[in-house]
Amino acid sequence: MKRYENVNLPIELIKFLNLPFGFSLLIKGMAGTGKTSLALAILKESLKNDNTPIYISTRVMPNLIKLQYPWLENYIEKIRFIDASNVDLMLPSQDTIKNLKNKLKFQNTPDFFVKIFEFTENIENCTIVIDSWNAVAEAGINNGQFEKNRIEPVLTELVRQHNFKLVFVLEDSNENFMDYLVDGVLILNNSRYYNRRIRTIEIQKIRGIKNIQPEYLYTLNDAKFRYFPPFKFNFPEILIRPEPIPDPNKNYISTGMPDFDILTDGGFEKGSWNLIEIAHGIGEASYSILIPIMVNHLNLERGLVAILPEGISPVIFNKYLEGFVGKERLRKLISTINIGIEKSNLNLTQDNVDYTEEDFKLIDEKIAHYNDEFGWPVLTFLGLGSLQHIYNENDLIRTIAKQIAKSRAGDNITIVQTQENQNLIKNLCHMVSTHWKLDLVNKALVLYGIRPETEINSIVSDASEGYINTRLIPIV
Amino acid sequence: MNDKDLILVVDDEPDTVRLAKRLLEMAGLKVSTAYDGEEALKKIYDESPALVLLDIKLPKIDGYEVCRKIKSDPKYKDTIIVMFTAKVFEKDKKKGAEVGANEYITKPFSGDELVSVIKKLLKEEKP
Repeated sequence: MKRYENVNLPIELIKFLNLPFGFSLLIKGMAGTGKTSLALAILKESLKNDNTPIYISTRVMPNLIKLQYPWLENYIEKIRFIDASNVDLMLPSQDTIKNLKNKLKFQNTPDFFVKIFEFTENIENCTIVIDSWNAVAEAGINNGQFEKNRIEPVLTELVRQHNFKLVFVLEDSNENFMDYLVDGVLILNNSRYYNRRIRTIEIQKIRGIKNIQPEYLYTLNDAKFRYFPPFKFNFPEILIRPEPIPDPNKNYISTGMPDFDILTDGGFEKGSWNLIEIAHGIGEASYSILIPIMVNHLNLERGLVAILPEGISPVIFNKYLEGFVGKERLRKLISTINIGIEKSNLNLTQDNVDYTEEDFKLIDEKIAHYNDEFGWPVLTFLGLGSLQHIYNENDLIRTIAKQIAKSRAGDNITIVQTQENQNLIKNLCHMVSTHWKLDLVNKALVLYGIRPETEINSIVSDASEGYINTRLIPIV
Repeated sequence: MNDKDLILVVDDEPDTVRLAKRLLEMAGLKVSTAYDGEEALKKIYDESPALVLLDIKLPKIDGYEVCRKIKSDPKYKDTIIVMFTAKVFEKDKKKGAEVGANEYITKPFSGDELVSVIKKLLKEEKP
């Protein structure tokens, strides 16, 4: 579990930080975008290369950093903090953090660089964060003009001749003359996606490194900068039965994912219908959510009726589940129906005659069988894609409405999976108990609740333990 | 002379090696590991495992070549080789049989299946 909690940085940035020569990097963003979190994560990364991390602060009180970024606790002693606020009040108290005694006073911007050079002359390799550059730059304004011509040669010498690794934090996301001077520019954005917060890091420029993806999703959950690479669903090669997660309380069943149990406020309610809408292009990545739900249910010795979406063979589906639940449970507890393949099981719509209700009775019989044999609740997984091509849409909605009304009286649970923008969704979303959307943001797989309305969560799925271990990391 | 209880697990995917090792050790077997074909051959020559669980797609020397070398060496030809692969095509199975593999397991497979196949093969081999 712990591996997910780590701070992490985009791969391009890691490669850039590992360049064997000096560089200058500009981090830009409006207030609250996590510039300091990212800068501190860069300093932490620099420790891997035996660099001395130096944090020059003009705005963030160093003694507050430990409180604001508790994950830094194990590294804070290794970071040298310099107070460049030009304000004596910002001096930290003596008993808080070591290495805070350093105070850098400067007259103007070129003088600032000279002071840094003097301060670091006995340090062989150092990565220096200047947080923020705004205060230093303001000192470089002379008669309303920024002394750009005096800064450029100093900066170039520090980076090229003395291999300094300089990271500038800028409290602004607009274009700036520094954009042209530095080797890399990162822009942190805080925006809205369907009225929910998303954060993206834009790699505007990164000299000497191939930019794989121009923008990534990130979060500041737990005050840690953590980016999300393109989602890749990994299926384990050796499948192991995970320990089932018990029901959070007597009225709910677990989703099989502790984070999803929290997001749903206790799991799936007994008697509920739950719609999972899947955006285009997600494909097998949706298994990262669907497999843990089904596996957990089966491992709790409960029946499952699966009406599979198009394109999924029951043979393959069962083979995949078997390794997670065992042969015997699979044989006893699951009934899979692929309407495209097993047409003989159902009547289907023919000659404008509505068989929908009659066919659903067959599904009901299977559910009743499991209720009789193994008790409640039985989980029904309904791949709506396969049904809406076969039955008349109005008949299907009418039948589902009746099914939903019937379910409320019992403890059985239904998960409906459908592709986004299907006509059925606009009717169905008013009837179901919960409505979730699986989506892609900058190629990261995300999940959010439409009902109940929740924040966006990035999905991280790990197969290294032999089962699908799915975590939801909120984008905050 | 083979070490009758030693299994060599060879795969370039560390998670797969770790899981297989854990499962086999829980089943009371001794396990050694290798991550490429070259390392696998070295371990086979040094440790003489009774059974090698061998992935086909390996760095340096592929699984077929490792199997062919072992099966053509009079000293090691009795080592049981279980090919361990994601490939399901008949031609791959045929190629595995040609180089002398004793058994074939197609990924993904369950931990229970892995242990039962290996125990069965070891039992058949023991005098």
